[in-house]
Amino acid sequence: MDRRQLIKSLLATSSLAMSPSLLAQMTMNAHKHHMAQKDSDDKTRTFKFLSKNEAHLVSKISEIIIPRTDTPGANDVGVTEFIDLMLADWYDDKDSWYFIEGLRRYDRRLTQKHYRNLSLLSAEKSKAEITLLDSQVMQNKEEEPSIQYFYKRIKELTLIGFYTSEQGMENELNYSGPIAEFNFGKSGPPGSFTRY
Amino acid sequence: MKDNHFDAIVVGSGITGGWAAKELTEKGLKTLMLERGRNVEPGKDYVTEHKREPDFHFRGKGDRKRFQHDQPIQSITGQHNESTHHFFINDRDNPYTNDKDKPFVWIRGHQLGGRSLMWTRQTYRWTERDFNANAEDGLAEPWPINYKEIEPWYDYVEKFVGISGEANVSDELPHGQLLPPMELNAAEKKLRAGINQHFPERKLTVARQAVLTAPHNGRPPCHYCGTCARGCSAGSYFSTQSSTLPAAKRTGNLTLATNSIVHSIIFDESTDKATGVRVIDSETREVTEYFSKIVFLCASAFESVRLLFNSKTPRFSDGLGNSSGVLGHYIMDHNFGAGARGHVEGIDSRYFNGHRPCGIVIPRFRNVKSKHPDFVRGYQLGGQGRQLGWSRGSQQVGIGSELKQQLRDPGVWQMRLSGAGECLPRYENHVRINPDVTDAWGIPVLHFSADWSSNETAMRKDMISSAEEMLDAAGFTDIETYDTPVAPGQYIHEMGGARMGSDPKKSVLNAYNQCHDVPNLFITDGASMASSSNQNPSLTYMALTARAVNYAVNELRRGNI
Repeated sequence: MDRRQLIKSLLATSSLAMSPSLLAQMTMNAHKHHMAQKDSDDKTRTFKFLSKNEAHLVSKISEIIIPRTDTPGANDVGVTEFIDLMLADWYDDKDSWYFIEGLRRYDRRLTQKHYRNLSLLSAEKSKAEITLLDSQVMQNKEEEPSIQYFYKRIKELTLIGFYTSEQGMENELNYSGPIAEFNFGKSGPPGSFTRY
Repeated sequence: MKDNHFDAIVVGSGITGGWAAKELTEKGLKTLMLERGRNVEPGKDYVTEHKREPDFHFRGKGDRKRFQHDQPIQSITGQHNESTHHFFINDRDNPYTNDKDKPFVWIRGHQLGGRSLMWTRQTYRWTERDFNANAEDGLAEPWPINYKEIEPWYDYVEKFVGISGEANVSDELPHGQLLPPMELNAAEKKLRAGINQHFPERKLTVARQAVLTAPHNGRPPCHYCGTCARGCSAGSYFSTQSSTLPAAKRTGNLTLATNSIVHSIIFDESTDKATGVRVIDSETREVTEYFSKIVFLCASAFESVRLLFNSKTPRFSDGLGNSSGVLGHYIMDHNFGAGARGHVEGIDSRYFNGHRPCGIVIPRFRNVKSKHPDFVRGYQLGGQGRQLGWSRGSQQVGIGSELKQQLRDPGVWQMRLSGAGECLPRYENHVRINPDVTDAWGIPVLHFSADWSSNETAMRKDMISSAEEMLDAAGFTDIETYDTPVAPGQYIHEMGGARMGSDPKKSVLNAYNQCHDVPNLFITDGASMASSSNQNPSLTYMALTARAVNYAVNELRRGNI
C-alpha cells in the first residue's frame, strides 16, 4: 500500500469523531514510513520533507499566491525548496506535520467538491479556490484549524521565500543592499532617492 | 619587566574595558587587557557583515532548533538572529540560576569587543536630577558624585566617541559635543508636530547615538547599510574595535590576551592590595597568574560582581571588597515592553534609500515639574516610524498579480512608541554565588533573585497611556496599546551589584570607582551604578571609566596606591 492509499483509507475509515491529534499522529507515522522508504530506494529525491505529490501541491499554491508576471514568480525562485527546508529543519516536527495535515484536508475538500484534487484542477478553478481560501483564512473564517494553519504558513513562507530570494530582491524590489525589507527604491519617482 | 608583570590589568574588552585600556596606555602604563572570549578582527571576523538575505540558510529567520539547544536565553533578545548569533554566548557553557518564580534574562557577548559590537549605540548623558534621585527621594544611598563632577568627563568621552544628535532639545537631555543629527522621517515629523502642539512640555528628537554623520578622528561616516549589529568594518559606530582598541594599540603599551578567563583576583592580606589575577586559558585550561599595580574590572556588571565573589580570602570570606555586605545587591535593569502603535494616512512620503540606524526618543517628562501620583522617577519613550513592507502581504486578504503589484509600493506609515523606565535600586534584588553549579571551566555561577516593584508596574501603565495620547493627539489612527511582560535583564542594561557611595559601610566603591576595601582595585562597568536613571547607561560608564583612570594614575604616581 503506498502512502496516498494509506491516507485515503485512513480518511475513509475515520469518523468525524476522530481527534485531530490522533489523525496528526497517524499522518506522522505514515509520513515517517514513507520517508524511510524513500530514503532507501529513491536516490533522486529532491525534497527533505515534502513528498513529490505534496511538493507539487505546494508549488502550485505558492505560484498562485505569487505568479510569474513581468517579473519571476514563486516557482522561478525556488519557493517550494525554501518551504521544504523550513518544514524539515526549522519548524518543530509536530507543526510541520500539522501543515501537511491541513494541506491534505484541503486537497480532500477540493476533491469532494470538484471530483478531482488540486493537482488536476484547471488553472482558473485553482485560482478561484485559493482566492476563496485566502479570503476565508485571512479573515479567520476558515473552520478547519489545520487548514487555517496550513494556509497561513504557506502564504507567509511564500512571501518570505520570494522576497528574500536573489531575484525577488533584485527584480521585484530593485534592491541590492543586505536587507530585503523596508526599501522601496523602485517605486519612487526617478531622482527622488534620499537617505532619511 | 617580566612577561607576566604589568603596571595595570584590565579585565574585559567591551565598552568600559576598551576605555580603561585606552586611558591607561595613553598615560604611559604598560597594560594587559584580558578578554575571556575569542579574538575578533574588524572585517575578517565580521563574517555576516553586508551578507544578503538570499545568502542566509534560513533567509534571516535563523537556525531555530540550534538556537534552542545552544542559546535558549540569548535568542530571547531581538539583537540575536541568524546574522548575529555568533556574537552571543553559548548558554550551556555559561549557565546561571534564578529564583523559580523570578526569571532573569542575562545576555552576554564573550569576544574581543564584547557587546560593543552589537549594542544599540544610544548615548545620552544622565541629568543632574538622575544623580540626585537617591538623595532626593531617600529610596537608596545617595550617589557620591553630581552632574557637575562628571560633566567634563562626558565632554571628554563624547569628543572621542563621535555622537550624532540634536542639541538643545530638552533639559532632560543635556547636550555636549554633537555631530549633525540624522533626519526624522515623515511619520516621526508628523508625531513631533502633534506633540509640539498638544504637549509643549514634551519633546521628540532623533535618537542620540554613537554613529558618525561626519568624518571623525579618522573614521568615516555611516553608509546606512542597516546591519550594525553584525560589526562595522568601516568603523562608523563606536566599538572597541573601531575606536578605543586602535588608540590603545598606538601607544605601544598594550598587551592583549584573548581566550583568557579571569578565575579570581590575587589579594595580598599584608598590604590590602590586589596584586594580580589568576587566568584560565579557555582553550587549553592552563592557569596563568598575571601581576600588576592596579586592577580595573570591566567585565560587565554581574561578571565583575561574580569575580569578586569568587575571589574570597580569609579576611573577605563573603567576597573580595565586601566588608559592607552590599556586594551583589541593588541590581537593576530598565523596564520596557509597554507602549502603543498607530497608523497615519495621507502623508506625502518621500522615497528613501538606505537604513537609518536608530529611532527617535521622547525624553523624560514625568516627575519633572510636577509630581506624578502613582510613581517616582521617570521614563523615556523610544520608537520609530516606518512604512510597512512586503511582509504585510501575509497578514491581509489578497493573492496573485494584484498582491505582487501592491507590495511593490510601501504600505501605510506606522509609528511605534515604547517606554524605557527607571528601575528602583532595592536591596532584595540581588545576585549571589550558587556553589552547586559551575560553568564549563569549573567556576561557580551566579544565582539571580530580582523582580520588578510596584513603582515599575505603575510606570508601565503610564507609558502606555502617554504613548496612546500622543499618537492620538498627532492624528494617528488604529492605535493599539501593548504591554509585553519582560524579565529583568532583558533590556541588557544590567546595573548595580557593587554600587558607588560615600559610606564604606553601605557601598562597595567610592566616588572614583575605587574599591573602599582594596584601594588599587577599580570597577567602572555597570556594577558601580547606584541608581539606573531612565537613560541608556553606556555613555556614563565611559565617562566614569575615563575619570577613574585619571584618578587612579594620579594616586599611583603620588604613591598612594
